[in-house]
Amino acid sequence: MKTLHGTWYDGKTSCHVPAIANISEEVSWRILHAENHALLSTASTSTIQVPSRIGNTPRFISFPCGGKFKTTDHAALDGLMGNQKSSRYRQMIYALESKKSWVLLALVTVMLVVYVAARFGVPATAKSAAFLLPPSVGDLASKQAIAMLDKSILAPSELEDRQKEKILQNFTSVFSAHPAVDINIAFRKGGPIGANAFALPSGTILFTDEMIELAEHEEELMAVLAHEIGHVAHRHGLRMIIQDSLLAFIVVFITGDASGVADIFMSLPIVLTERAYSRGFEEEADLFAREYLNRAQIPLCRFAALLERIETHRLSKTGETQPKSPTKEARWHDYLSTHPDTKSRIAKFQSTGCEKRFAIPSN
Amino acid sequence: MSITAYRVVYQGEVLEGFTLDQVKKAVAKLFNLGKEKVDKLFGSHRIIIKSNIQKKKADYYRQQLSKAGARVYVEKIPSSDVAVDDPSTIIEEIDRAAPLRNAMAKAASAKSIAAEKVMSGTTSLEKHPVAFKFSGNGAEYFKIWIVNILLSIITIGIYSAWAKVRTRRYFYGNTAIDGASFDYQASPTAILKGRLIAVAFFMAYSLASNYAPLVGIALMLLFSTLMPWLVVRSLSFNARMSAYKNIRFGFDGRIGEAAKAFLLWPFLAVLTLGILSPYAFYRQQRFIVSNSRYGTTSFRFSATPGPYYAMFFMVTLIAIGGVALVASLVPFFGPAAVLLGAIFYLFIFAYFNVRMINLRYNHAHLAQHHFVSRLEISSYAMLILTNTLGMVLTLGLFYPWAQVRTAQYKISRLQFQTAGNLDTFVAAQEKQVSALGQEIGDVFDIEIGL
Repeated sequence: MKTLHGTWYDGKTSCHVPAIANISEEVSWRILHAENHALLSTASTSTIQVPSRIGNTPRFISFPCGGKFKTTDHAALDGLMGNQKSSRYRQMIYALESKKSWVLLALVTVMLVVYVAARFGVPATAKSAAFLLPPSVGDLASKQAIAMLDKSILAPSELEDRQKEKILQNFTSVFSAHPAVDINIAFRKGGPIGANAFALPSGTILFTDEMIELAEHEEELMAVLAHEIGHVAHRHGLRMIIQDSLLAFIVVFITGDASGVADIFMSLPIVLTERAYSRGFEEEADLFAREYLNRAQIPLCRFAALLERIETHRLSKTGETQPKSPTKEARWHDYLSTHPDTKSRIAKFQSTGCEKRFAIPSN
Repeated sequence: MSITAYRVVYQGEVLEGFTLDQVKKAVAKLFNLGKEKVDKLFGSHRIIIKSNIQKKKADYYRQQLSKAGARVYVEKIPSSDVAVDDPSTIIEEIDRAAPLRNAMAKAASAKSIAAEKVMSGTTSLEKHPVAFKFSGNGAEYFKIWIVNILLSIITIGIYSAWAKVRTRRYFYGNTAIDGASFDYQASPTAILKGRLIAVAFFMAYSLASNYAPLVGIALMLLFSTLMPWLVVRSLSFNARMSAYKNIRFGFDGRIGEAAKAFLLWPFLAVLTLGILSPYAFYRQQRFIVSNSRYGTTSFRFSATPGPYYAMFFMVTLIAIGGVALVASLVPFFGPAAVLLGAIFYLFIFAYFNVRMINLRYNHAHLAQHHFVSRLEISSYAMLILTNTLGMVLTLGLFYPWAQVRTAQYKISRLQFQTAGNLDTFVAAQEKQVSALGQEIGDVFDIEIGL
């Protein structure tokens, strides 16, 4: 016969008595008052429920009468229950949680899995999911996005119709080079966002008036268009949405609810990862543009020229005189940026055929 | 004297679960009565056990006697009766009953001071504090946490229900008062079921809101209509699965009331441009606390809207002041001013949480007992700051320590002001509640919780 010490709660009132459990032959449990040895309850092992061990928290053994026997005599209890199949599985979890080597293995595995999931798993899943869905799924969302932008920051384009037509005419050769992608062009006044162009999942590519004005050569705009078509062709918009959902899911999965931490800071890892994904997309679109420019025999430096002009223009507007060299500060800033560092982008679009500043002197 | 007097009356009734013989023996032992007196007591149709006493004292007798299995009634003595009422019924024996005093002292050693005072008749029940204790530690919880995540990953999320139960059990089991810990009894399969439905709904919603916003809005409306039901289900599941001394908690809030607290009042708050939002918040707190119960004993919420208005006013004031200050400093200090903004954010976060938690507990009563919560803004802000820094510097691995530190802080500053015995709470008969409400609530991040 084995004995466990603990407390008996009858389940009818909050009153409790010190008690001992006598277990004979590992089948029959008798709960006795610890002082006067009055019989409080009796049950066979098959009818009682022993919860698994969690740290050193007390365990409440449930009896069929509704009473509970509380004990912290974990080793003795697990020794008693050890022969039962169901308890072997429960003890396994505690064994995992209590052995340093297992915990270390779990830690390394989890970190590896999270890293691989964030680095490769999420983008790959989003990519295949985005290509499985019909392209039209983004139409409604895109329409709403434009409507929202029109209400908030964008204003109707102030370009003359003649100018718009001319631009569209130039673009036809780019369109015909990508027959699989359904594109339509929209013009707006950018206002606060300045010289910009962006693609929506539906295939709408929006140019701001400022961007058109800043361009000095029609091939510069064609290069930008090719970059934006790259976003549409690779379904970056959809992939971004799917990636965001997956990331949020991972964070909730790991932390549950993160009380005890200022929650605004909890979104930091998500933002940083999203930005990294975004930079990846920009590189993909840049590559797409380079491939097109090479095929169409347009000098790569057209894109570089426009990029640099936008950068100079932006800096002159914000009051900074010189583009900063990549100092430590700039590198920190890079992690928060949606686009790769402009200098390194420009470096990939070096070629002959443009004006002095951007390419090898043409004389 | 205008003080109302009470008497304790016995009419020969025995509580469920006791036999007459058991009760006779217990009462005899309690009051040190001979067989003759006990027979007289149990033989009479109606007998006054004690008269001309205050309400608290009468309640105390009722508690002790119901523990022994006798159903007694506390009655107000009609003023015309006071003079006539015979003060020397059985009380003389009772007051001299030394064994009773001993029995009481043994049964409720922690409360013996109050019990002695009552028994010796010097004063009415005095309250004395019993502290909550939290005994978990970060390293221990880290192990549980990391294994939870690993097994959840391996089982593609299925284990997360078990993980949730283990986490809850760890925190409940390490929270103790009066030598007894809390117990979380939910079954993981119930949580898994609720979780699967919740995740399906969430996925439908997020897909719909991205690709078909109208369907998303329809789902959101459906969710809002269901919300009062979800709130009630969530609170009652949570309460029912929580137990202390093998007596479960419960939640009896009605869906109509939940609709008022979580839909009507917030809606009116929006209509009044926020003037009613502290009141809406107060109504939600009141709904949660006053509908909760421990066994058959209901919680009572004694707060008024006033402090909630003061709290919201301060938060608004600090927020406006902070934004103005940061905005005016940005041109001079640049990014350093943004850091100041972060400090303001932290302060507001701490202020709101501290005030909210203190208000909730300091106005929560259970029978004649009540809670005292003493969180402080400065120490709580330091806790949050260090937790957040820890999380950032360790890429999130500090999370278990942050959780344990927060629990430790909150629980160690919580007290239960007891008046009399904590052993007399009675369990209630209850029906099953599924985990669905709670899980949907969790996925959609509704702020509820006690």
